[in-house]
Amino acid sequence: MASVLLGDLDDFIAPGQACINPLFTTAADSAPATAAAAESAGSKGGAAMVLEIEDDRGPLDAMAVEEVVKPDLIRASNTQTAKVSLDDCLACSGCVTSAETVLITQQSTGKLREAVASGRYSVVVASITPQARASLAERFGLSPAETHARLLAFLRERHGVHHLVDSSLGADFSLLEAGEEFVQRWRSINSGRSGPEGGRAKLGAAVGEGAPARPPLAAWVAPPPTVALSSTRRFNVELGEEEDNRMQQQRQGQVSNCASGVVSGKRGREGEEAARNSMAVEEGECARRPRGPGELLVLTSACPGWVCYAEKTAPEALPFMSTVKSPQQMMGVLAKRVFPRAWNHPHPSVAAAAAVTAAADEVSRVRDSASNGATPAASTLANETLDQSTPPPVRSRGVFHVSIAQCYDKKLEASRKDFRHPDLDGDAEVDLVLTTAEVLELIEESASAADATLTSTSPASPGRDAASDYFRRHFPPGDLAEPLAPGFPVGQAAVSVDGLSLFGGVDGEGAAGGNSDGYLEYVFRHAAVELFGVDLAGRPLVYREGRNADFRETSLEVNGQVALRFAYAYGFRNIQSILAKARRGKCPYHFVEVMACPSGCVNGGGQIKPKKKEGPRDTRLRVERVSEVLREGRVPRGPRDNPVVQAVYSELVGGGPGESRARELLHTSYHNVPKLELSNPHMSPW
Amino acid sequence: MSRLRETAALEGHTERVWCVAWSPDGRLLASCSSDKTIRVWCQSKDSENGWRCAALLEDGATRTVRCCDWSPCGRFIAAVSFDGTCSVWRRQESTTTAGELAWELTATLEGHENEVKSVAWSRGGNLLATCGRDKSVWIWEYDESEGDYECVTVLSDHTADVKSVRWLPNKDVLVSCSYDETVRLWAEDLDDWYLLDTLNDHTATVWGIAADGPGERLATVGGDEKLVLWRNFPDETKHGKWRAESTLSGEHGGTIYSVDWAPTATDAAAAATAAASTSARRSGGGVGDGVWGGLGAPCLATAAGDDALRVFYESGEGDGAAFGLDVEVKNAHAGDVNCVRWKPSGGGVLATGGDDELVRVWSYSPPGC
Repeated sequence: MASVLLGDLDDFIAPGQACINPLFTTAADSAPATAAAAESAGSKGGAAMVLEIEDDRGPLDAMAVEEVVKPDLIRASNTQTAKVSLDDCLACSGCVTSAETVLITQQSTGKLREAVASGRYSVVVASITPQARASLAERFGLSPAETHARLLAFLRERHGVHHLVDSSLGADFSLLEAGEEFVQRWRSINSGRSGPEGGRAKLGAAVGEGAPARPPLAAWVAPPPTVALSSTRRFNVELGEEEDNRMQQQRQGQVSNCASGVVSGKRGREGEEAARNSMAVEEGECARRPRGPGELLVLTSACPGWVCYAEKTAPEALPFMSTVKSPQQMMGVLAKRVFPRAWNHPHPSVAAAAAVTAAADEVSRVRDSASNGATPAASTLANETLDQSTPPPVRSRGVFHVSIAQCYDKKLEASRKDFRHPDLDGDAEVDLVLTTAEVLELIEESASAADATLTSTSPASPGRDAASDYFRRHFPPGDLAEPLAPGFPVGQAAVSVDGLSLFGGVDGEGAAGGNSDGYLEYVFRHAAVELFGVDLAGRPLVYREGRNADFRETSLEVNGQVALRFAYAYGFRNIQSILAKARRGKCPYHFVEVMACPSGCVNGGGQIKPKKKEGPRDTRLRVERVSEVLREGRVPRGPRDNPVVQAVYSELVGGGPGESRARELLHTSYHNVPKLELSNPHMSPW
Repeated sequence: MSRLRETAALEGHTERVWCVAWSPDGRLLASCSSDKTIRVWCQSKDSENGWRCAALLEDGATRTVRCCDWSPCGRFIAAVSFDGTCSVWRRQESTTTAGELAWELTATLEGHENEVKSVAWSRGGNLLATCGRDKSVWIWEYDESEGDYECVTVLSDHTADVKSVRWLPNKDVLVSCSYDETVRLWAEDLDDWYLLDTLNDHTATVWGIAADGPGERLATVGGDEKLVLWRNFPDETKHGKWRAESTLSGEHGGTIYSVDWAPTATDAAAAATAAASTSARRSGGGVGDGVWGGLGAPCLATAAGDDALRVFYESGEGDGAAFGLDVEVKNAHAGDVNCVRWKPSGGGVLATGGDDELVRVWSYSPPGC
């Protein structure tokens, strides 16, 4: 069971063990807690438990008692089981991410079986992150491409999955939008500010002399607490009314900057100097130049652990967050909106070249379905398609999308109401998230079942375990080049059309950032070209290591002045450093790629770990091995070279990155989660 | 005359005193309280009880100041509060016109989700550890280039409120104790801090930790009214293994909140050297202590919820050596005694803080004196 692994999460933002919100615990649970609290207060000699308000020993221990009397959501009897959804977790500030008991009940392998058996879905699409695939590949000693091909065969045969797609197909959209968002925010902040003093005034004070009026800049202030209702609506807890999400997105896009109100005047003037120097050379660009480092700050938001942390304990950071959807949620958009179109209509832009007919489409899908004829859903579909001359159209609601990721918190992300779109009838973009370790469990279960039936087979070869043997023996690689849909320009693995190289990986990814999705590398290069006309294609970025290997920065100098300064901040301690700097108005970076796990996503909490507990050195070695595998066979490729990108922007989005329709479909928003003390006053007696 | 007697009661705090801390040279005593302030006391010939409040540090916290600690150089005080922050105060060279010491708030460390319970400087003064109700232990490092403190690690293995942190005196190993009834030790390897060991002998909240001068022995106390002594046994690993050596129970009538190991003559001499090196530029300090011969044997003091202050003295030789209760003061404070600390420069001097809003100073003489 996944719970064992959860306890060993090597993630600095660990999930709570059990739900602590008394709203979700039963009366029976809370009674002993109260009794213990009174006892605790009594033992200190106080008459009533809440008399001594700031007592370290009375009410506080009553709080902790609550943790000892854990409501065990899984083992509790039916009548007592409290129903807590992951959505409740997101709206509660009791834990930073969520109670692991809730994670397990809501998003598990069982849900995949249920979905396939329900017959509700005509197509089951799985997406897998390159990091999760690398972890499996490392475990089985296979190349990433072969792992992908065999996993496709396994999921098809055993779990009714039709397609297995590389999520870097979606990551490219995240990168494109993030690049454009950065450039837009930069220009928004640096436009209309040509005053001689640079306008680095104290918060709320007048802008420097001669500067034209501009919207007030966001300081390090938390937005009002809100709760998500859907992708378009939110509930403002302070005002007690519903709001439109998009307004907030726009506000974020326009006014975010790095605690501009408190950057010192000196720094501002130095920046002015820089602008003046560069003006002499490149006049056309100077209006957009920054007046000093730290004016603009964009924090990436692809890491759900970091998003949860910011929403619950550092809401001041929210206005600085990138609003771009993560690769997982971009895959959701593709799976629910783009793929169905492709299945229903041969891809127009490539239809001619593909030379496939509707009949071929039918045959292909019948074949897919037949391969998992054991499930009722698939056989129904097969019959239907055989009986009719044209297959019934695949609707968004008929697609079940399971994301295979390296991270437990991705389960939480998928559960956000912000990803429930009214035009998808409120369905989620990602229906289920399985971690790498959970996928390994699926394989191990099948392996031991196979072992039980085939006792005569020779024992597993030395040096390799049963699961690995089974996986290699029983699942010949599927055809990775087989298009996702007739005429669709991408194959099963999102591999190149020749079926050999995996997509994903931008230039220079050998640096620390390669372990996640390459935001820094892409945005830096994009901004250098767009804002300064400096093309860095083919040139590796030079990084300076900070206090530890998980903190690195790089900068772009134009005319001897630092024009762009970007950093990686991986792991909780480095997140704290960034937050501390921003709080003081001393954050010198324009862009920070933030990930909660040390070493980034390759070291995600859901990756495969050895059964026995490993020490820090073992972890480091394992992460290094997975990182190496991750790079195997990857061909650096700009997101625009992704063959789906052009088609999606022209047909679905109807505009380029960063334009209004893209903001609706490909961006999201964040919430300052109301404090538990506010939402439930009984929780804390002081 | 009792061998453990009160020499002064320091009045000033207006709510319960949580913690007292001696400056490394033993000249100054800091105390903090639910009244949100820190007071710095020094000895004074002019006042009746021989002490005066030399500084009042206000406005650093918006709620209870739970714990304070001096940096090894004696120029900084770090104080943590229930408001979730850790404040670092720096002593100015000058004094105010009223003869008070001037202190400046130089940094506020934010990061804990809620109440911070304890703070401790490492022996080198470059690391600062904090812990609190959010079950985490944080280590901060002073960054000279930035002039600020950066979070080095957040350790979240404790499963409940972390009550106290102390560093070993001889190396950068941190000890923490918690409502989860464990004592945990933390060390650094390859830039990363990790859980070195978990000590499980307590059966209730562990409230206090103290390490002896050489860093070979630990004393821990808690809600189980037990005083547990641990010894480090060297093995093939870098930090050796800690094992419980003995447990004293039955001597306390309530939760033991605090424990402290008396300085040896060597410790006191080191403190005296520190005092000599700083005395030249100090203007508000107290009286020097001269050479002190120590207490003759290892000695521990405890502060407990039964309002008592106790001193335990080790007698016997080698394997037969054992701690026994030497003296106790039953009503040391009119309420819980929250903290006890020996003066590092020796002389058998102790300070306590209690629920009666007072800081008390005590003098102890070992058996046979």
